[in-house]
Amino acid sequence: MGRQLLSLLSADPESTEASQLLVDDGQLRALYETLTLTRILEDTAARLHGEGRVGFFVPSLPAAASSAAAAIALQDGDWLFPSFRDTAAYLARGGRIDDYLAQLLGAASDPLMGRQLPGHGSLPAGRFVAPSGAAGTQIQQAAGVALGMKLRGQEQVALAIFGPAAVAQGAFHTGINAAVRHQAPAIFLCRTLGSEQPPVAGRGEGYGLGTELVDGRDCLAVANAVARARQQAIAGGGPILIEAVVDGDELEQDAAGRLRGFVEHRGLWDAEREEAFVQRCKDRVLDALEVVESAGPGSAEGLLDHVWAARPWMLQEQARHLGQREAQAPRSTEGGDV
Amino acid sequence: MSELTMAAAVSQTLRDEMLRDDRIVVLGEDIGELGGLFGATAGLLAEFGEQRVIDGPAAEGGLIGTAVGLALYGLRPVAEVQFADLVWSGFEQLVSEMAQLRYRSAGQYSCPVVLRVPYGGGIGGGMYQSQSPEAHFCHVPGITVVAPADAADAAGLLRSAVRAEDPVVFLEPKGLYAAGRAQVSEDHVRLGSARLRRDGTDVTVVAYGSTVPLAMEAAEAAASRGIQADVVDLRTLVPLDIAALLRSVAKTGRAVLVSEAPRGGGYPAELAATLAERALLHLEAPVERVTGLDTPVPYAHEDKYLPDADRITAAIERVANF
Repeated sequence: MGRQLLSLLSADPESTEASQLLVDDGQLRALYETLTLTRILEDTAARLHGEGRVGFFVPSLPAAASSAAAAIALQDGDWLFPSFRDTAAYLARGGRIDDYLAQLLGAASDPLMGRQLPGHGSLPAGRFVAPSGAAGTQIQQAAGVALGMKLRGQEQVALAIFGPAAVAQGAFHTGINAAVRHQAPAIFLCRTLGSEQPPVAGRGEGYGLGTELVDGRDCLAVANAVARARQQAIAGGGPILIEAVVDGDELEQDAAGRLRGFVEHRGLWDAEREEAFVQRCKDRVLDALEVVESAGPGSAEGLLDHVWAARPWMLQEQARHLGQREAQAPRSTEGGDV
Repeated sequence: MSELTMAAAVSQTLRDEMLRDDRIVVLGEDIGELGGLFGATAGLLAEFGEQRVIDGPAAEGGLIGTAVGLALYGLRPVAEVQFADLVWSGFEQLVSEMAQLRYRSAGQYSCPVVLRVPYGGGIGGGMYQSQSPEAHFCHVPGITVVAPADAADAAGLLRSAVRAEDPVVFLEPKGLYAAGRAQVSEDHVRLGSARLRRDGTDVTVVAYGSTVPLAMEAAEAAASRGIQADVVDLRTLVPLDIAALLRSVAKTGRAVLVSEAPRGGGYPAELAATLAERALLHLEAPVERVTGLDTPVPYAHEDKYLPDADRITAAIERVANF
């Protein structure tokens, strides 16, 4: 390929250029903790899947490093449109272990009421929008949210994360086109294996779009690229396309391991903290699993809610046919900034 | 009260609503300087500026996706798809996103988008400027589907649509944009409420949007032959005003269902099934449909494709004399 990937984290922590970092120590520690929690949580999910107790499970590997790093680099008030491999970003934006497990198991406490596949979380407070099963639609929506931010003069950005399938869709073209046309503060983060033809990052120039090509296993490079893009977008510089190359042969463990060396080098982490944190994550996951399982499976009572804002007569009738009680007032919409 | 064409009623209503609610923005191809291909956004750019009147390319996925994003953010976008025939490239956003975001987020997010969609024939527009795709929209849970038949209802329904918490597909019969004028007030028309356009006892004619004037003309022709038709203008297709439909058919025992769209799988089929389920014992004759042909809309012989008053009158007579 001959393409130069931007990286920051070197194998030797001492030679990592800390002075270039755009994320602070608190964000770095949160990043490492998010990666560790994601691994432990997904180990449990994989076990439940292996035991046949869960029908659908897609691990974040090898996307977790770039997912967590991108989310950490955002600020409160920013919006994030994830792909379906962004559990790490979900946790970084305030997603809860018990909610993740409840969705995995279709349990009563699932905030999404059993509608979405496991790993497809959603957070109104974290401005983390329930991912779609359609590839690339989040690109167009992030352009729209970013346009709204610009129209309202807010210092916020909208980040869309997606993969190669989305880049092959018309949604990529029309979404980027809309964002560039309006110079909207959007960040488009595409995870690739580095082998897409034509290369993703190379397409930016034709759209008049700022572009970065980074090592997707290098948390610092991704976090920095997103933080820099955020500064540029808020300053009125328009949207940015970041291609984060994730080599399929590399395990996520290496990405986390490289980051661990660096946070230890900076005095933010050590073996003692590692042991305590891992144990605490495992305890939290097992405790949450017990609570979620003991609540039992979710009820179908809400099956007909949230299609329209209120149930029209057809759904009231279908509720009666299902033997359900009359409509209760559904939970109101929580999202939206204006 | 003023007397306006439907196109002028749409632009005046948008103006009123934009003055009332600064969250409303309009977007679409040529809606700015040009004022929309049919003049339905005329004057808005000059009054509200580029912050609220946003011209964009004819790329319906980008248009609807942008509108969805604006709505998620808390604005109230009113997007114009230049022709219904062009909506297909935006269908993924419409079906999988606009209609489903509330459900898939269990109420965390919603998409109060109004999608204004000029539809139907009557302008000699051929295959790609004449389609009536309402059945496609009606088959998607989560969308409210509206089709006014005159300027007054267009204004009243649009006022309700921009206030709705749900996405609304607002079908504007482009053949009627400039076909006549009506008194337009500041009243709202409730979504989901039909209008009895003509009171009769013998046959119910159900129409919406572009076919309402044809149904009225046919009803007058039938009256001259001694058959009195009830004409029900549905105004909203989803949710259907089922009470109005059943009330009329219970009275007349006969039904003619009119639509411009191809017959197979069309919206009148849903109405016919509804009558079969709920009004069978009232029916004195088979339900008839008067529709477009199961073909694309032809350029040269559009008059053969489209339902007209004569075909509707003939159907009224057949069911009346069954």
